[in-house]
Amino acid sequence: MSVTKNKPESRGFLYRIDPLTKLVMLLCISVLAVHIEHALPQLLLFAVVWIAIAIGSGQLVSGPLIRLLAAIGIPYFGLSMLSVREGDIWWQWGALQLTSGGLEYGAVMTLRIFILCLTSIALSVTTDYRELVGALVLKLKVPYRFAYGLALALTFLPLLREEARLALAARRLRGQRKARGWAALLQTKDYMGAVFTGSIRRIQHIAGAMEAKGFGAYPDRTFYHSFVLPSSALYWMSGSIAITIMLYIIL
Amino acid sequence: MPTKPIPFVQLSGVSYAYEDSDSPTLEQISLDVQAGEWLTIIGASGSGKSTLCRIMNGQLPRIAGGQRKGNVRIDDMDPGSAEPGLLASHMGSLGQDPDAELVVGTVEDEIAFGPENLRIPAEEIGRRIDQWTEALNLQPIRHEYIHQLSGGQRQRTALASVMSLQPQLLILDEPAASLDPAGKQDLLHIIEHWHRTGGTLITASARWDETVMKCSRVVILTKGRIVLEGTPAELLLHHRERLEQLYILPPDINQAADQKAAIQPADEHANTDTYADTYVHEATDLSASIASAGMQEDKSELRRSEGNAAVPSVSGQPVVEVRDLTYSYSSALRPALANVQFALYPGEMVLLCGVNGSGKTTLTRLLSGLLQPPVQSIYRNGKDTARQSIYDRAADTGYVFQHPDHQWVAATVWEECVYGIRAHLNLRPRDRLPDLYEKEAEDMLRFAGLLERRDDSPYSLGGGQKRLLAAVCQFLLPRPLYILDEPGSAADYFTIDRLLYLCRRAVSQGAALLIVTHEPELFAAPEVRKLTLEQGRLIEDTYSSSR
Repeated sequence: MSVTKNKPESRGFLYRIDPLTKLVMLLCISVLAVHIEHALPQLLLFAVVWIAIAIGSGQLVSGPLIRLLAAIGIPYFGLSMLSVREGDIWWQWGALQLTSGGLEYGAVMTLRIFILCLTSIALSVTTDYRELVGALVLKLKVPYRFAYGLALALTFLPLLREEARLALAARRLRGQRKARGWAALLQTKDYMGAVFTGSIRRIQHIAGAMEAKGFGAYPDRTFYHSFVLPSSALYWMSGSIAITIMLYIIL
Repeated sequence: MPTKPIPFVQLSGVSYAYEDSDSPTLEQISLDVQAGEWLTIIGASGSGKSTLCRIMNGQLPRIAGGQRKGNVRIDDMDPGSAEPGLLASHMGSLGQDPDAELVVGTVEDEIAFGPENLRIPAEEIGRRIDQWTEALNLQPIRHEYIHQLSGGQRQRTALASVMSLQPQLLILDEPAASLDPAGKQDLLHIIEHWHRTGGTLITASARWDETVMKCSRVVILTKGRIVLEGTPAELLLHHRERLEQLYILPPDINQAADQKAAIQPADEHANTDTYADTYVHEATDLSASIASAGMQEDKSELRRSEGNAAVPSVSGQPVVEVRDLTYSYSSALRPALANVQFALYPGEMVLLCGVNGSGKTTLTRLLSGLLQPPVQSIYRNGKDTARQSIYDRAADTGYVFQHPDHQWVAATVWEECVYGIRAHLNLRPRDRLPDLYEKEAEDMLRFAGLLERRDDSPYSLGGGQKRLLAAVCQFLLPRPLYILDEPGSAADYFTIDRLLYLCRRAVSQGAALLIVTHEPELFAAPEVRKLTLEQGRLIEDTYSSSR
């Protein structure tokens, strides 16, 4: 049996951490993000997560990601903020009220979404799907069909990105220029349709190829790559859980 | 009395129609393949050979739906309803597009994936990985991710992943389509050796190539029906003319390809030798009215090109000039291109050759604007393209993708065909295409034999038909530079002749053409310039006479 060899040693520490430890860390951060109900500690947690991911992956602080978070976060922040009427009233227009409690609630909820999005994306980008499948099946005894389903779901994001790149390249080379106004919306609709169709076709291909190679034929399967949990993993996991319990009690 | 052996593969009265299709793709196919036999299925693009392969490997109707009639038996099971594990332990199959055969991961993962599913012990899987990475020259890229590989490397990986299943039956549909000549020879030796060890082999191809003479029996497919069957020698002896009519053999196998310009239309029974001339002359007259982008329009030159394929003389300012180009992908250990230097001139047809992974596609992507070139490395009309927007670079370049499926932007063949014209004329979705352009697009589709399929999805076309549509879409608009990435790969002679005609027409109008190919003989002309890349370096830039 072989051990996975192509793990890039020169990349950030998130690539080097085993998937089980990363799953435990993700769970701990999610528990804290859901538990915290004040803006300042949530902001601190967000900052720590962002910095850790930026250093650990070396590639997540990108323009598209910030734009995506802004596209989700700003409307969500506005709606959350206006939905709660507690504390001092800072601004009022008809039935709409901006209160200190609403502002804090909006900030907490938006930061929570940011934290959950960032950690999930970090797991998707920095985790080798083979290691994840190996860890889930060989260590946690998760059925391999389910583990592969989860692993392939993690690869869907890079797949979408690749399809988007191809669809955009094809359009540019065929002479399509950026439209404005209503035409831009129609163009985006066509573009997103092509990306989605392309992704579905790719997934169909993958499913067909898997079936042709006997995937799902037996209740169990062998693994060429073994999964070895590093001895340091237990320290990382228990440390993460201990810190989470401590912060849970304090906050 | 000796008993007749039971065929390993048995098809009787098999017909198949895709979902939403009015007409069947296969009709009344009856075929027996004995254990240990090597059968080759040959058919022009759209003849149904890939569909037949997918019926035999069980993908149809299991995955893509549709309706199958008749009986199919592989050994003692129906592949359309057999358990996946049973099927995978009996047969391996490989289609035209290696991307459709690969799961995700590295080369090693791909090879291990099938045996893992069949519960083969890890030690044995390791042995098979070693065996097939060595046989298919995959050792240096054993730990690479598949999305980082070239087309040929992916094709070899897909084959290794099938061979590692140790199947009794192999169904290979154009297995060497993206391979360089050495890779093709290696592949041929491997499958020959595998066949000699007792394996049953079914291969499919669009034209008669050197592998056909090695097989035991050939079946010729046209319009979903078997029209000829026999040993390769028998068919060549008695049916050569028919094979030429079906575009499976070139009109005269010993003649250079440039004498095949006057070719038959898509319908084998129709029209005259000047069919191509008629439609393309009309198209040429019309295309002159489109913005010419600085191209020469000389009808006398065009006629000369059509008549005896004389290549116009090369002169003037280069269409594109590459100066000391070095390019590296962010995660790569070595540059994909190093110190590449050349120029392309108006009226020049240049072949870009090199083994798989030598940097051909990277170079064409940099030239077309798909990749951002380094500053002061690629010049168009004396201007550094690194400082131009991708829209400006794309406006001057017609680019035919290596995989036509990557090029599609519309839902139907017709919309695909006119997409570029509509973008060029800046038409809104509800604006009607002017009659002049509509007629030109119709003529081009008729020329390509695709007019009847104008309402079909481009994805539903055969391999060669896709390549023709991809090329037609680009050649409809005159541009100073056309780049075609492996346009003749896995194409029948009809497709190749049509492509050649379009290429020569563009050259005669003053465009520069860069054609990436592993088969330079297909694009032979009296004077051919050939660039050869090796490990990212330009090692050859020569003019050579093809005859």
